[in-house]
Amino acid sequence: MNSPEPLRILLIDKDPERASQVCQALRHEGHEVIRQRPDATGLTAAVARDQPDMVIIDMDSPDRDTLENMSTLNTHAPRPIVFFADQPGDRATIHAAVKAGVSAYVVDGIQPDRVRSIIDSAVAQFESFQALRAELEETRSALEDRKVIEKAKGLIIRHENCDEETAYRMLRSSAMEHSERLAVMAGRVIKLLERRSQGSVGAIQKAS
Amino acid sequence: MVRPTPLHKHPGFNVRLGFVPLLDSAPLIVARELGLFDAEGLDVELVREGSWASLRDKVSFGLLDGGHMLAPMPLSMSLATDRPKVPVVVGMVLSRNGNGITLSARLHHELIHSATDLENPIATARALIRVARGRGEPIRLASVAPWSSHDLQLRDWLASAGPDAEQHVQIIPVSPIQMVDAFRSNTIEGCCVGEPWNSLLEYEKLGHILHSGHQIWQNAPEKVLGMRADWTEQHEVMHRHLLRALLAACQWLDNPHNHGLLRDILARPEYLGEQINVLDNHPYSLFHPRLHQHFFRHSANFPWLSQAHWLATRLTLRGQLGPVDGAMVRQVVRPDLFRNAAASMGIDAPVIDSKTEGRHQLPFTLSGRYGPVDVASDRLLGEHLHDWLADNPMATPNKEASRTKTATKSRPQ
Repeated sequence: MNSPEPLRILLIDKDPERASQVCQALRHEGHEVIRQRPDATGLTAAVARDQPDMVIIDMDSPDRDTLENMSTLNTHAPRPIVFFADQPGDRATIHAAVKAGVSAYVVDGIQPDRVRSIIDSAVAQFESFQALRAELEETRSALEDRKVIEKAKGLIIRHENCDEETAYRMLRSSAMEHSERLAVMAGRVIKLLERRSQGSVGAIQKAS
Repeated sequence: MVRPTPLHKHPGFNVRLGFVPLLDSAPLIVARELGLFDAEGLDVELVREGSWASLRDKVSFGLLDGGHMLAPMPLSMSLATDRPKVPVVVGMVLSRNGNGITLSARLHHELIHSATDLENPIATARALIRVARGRGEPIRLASVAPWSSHDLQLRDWLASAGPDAEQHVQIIPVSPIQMVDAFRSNTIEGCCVGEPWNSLLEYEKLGHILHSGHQIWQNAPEKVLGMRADWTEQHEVMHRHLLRALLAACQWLDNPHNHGLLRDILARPEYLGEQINVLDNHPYSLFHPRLHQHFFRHSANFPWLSQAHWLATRLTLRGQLGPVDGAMVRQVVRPDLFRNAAASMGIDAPVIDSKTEGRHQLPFTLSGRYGPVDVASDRLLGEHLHDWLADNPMATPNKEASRTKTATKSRPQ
């Protein structure tokens, strides 16, 4: 497994000696450490400004909460994070950690010669996470779409005094005419019909 | 760097529990220091964690068996949809209340000058939104984590001002230990955080406590004991001993005569450390009277299904969880385990697993196995009522329907 692209990395580590070792190892692998910070103070601004591909932070750092929750603030893609911990562990623990969604979990601290495999597994993990997120997002928006379409149908039924089948056909044909997604057309219909006390087929046609 | 701090070990049954250094981690620390774990034959290793994320991950990986958790955290871990689920079991609540909504001195001053009734959270939320509108830019506040009671309390408070209130406020995550710095550097103008941070912000003259979490949801479950479900299954007896030790610790904590000793224990470097020493000079010392933090009285430790369900519905509303039904909550929150442990110590518990949240403005009594049991009030801001199971202990999980409604007016009972 190779990292296809060099990554722009933000490194947060209080231990300057370890940080410089990690930094060197990352550069050796062709990655760019764009910034090195002792803690997460001002992290939100830093991420917004520098848009790193990855943030590397100590497992035990109190800044973990801040970093993890940045996704609630920023809608842009979350960054994979690599955690270091000095506690002893075994392969099973690492496996469980990676499975649990942590990008990579490094026991016995960081060893420069392991940086490459860590980064690789983090990237792979990040990608599979992104895929999962995208899938979730898709399901969610499919549900949203259905709600909008149902609502538009309901409005058309009321305004046109027709049955459900006819309402759906009207909606579908105007969507096709304007080569729009059904949900988008439904949204326009809702906007229009809700504004008017009286709607008509004409209104639906004009909705584009 | 906060490093995990393995403390003394004892021969016997080994359990590893994590805690985040906060006033409400006291039950674990006290149980350890008073020998209550030893008395139950448990060898408990307490591990101090610098962040909730690291505590959660270490529980997930099996580096910890469980620990001190934010009340919504076991729900978020067990029922997650955006990451692999890690089933966690809650056998008891460790503490109630203790959060405060603290505003910067400047923002607090602005509210005072707007002639707002500072005792009325809905009025203050509206006033805050007016200030933000006047400024033309959002006010920046902080909570400690999205899946925390702090975040839910802060958002429920703001939402009481109207549906678009959150547009005028930006909520950013800040770790409790960074809250003082965030105030000092004007990064944030307010926060919802647990103790001792509100008291410290007041003591440092950086902010004023505007509201307590108690005003948003009376006697809300704040921290719980969350244990990995597989651990609980394998060690049923030890889990009961663990609950017994912590119950005894909670009982001890509610006695104000013990607070001097408590302060000395908590100030040790392996626990909360010297940060709490300045509170010696604070008029309220450890427990700020506005925050109503308590550990045992009024059945504080009983893990109500209805309260967990209310938390879950808040998480769902905020998009942090998918839809949650009664059966799912029952897998996480286990009043049966609590009753079993409490009964073995002669502590009675309500016979029902759920109640209508929001109905009671005063402490009230419910039937226990051996007689009436005291239960704390549970009023919700905006007079919401949250019903689940219709107080029927015989209801089976698949017959449960969840509903939330707003009451026109609730009477004290």
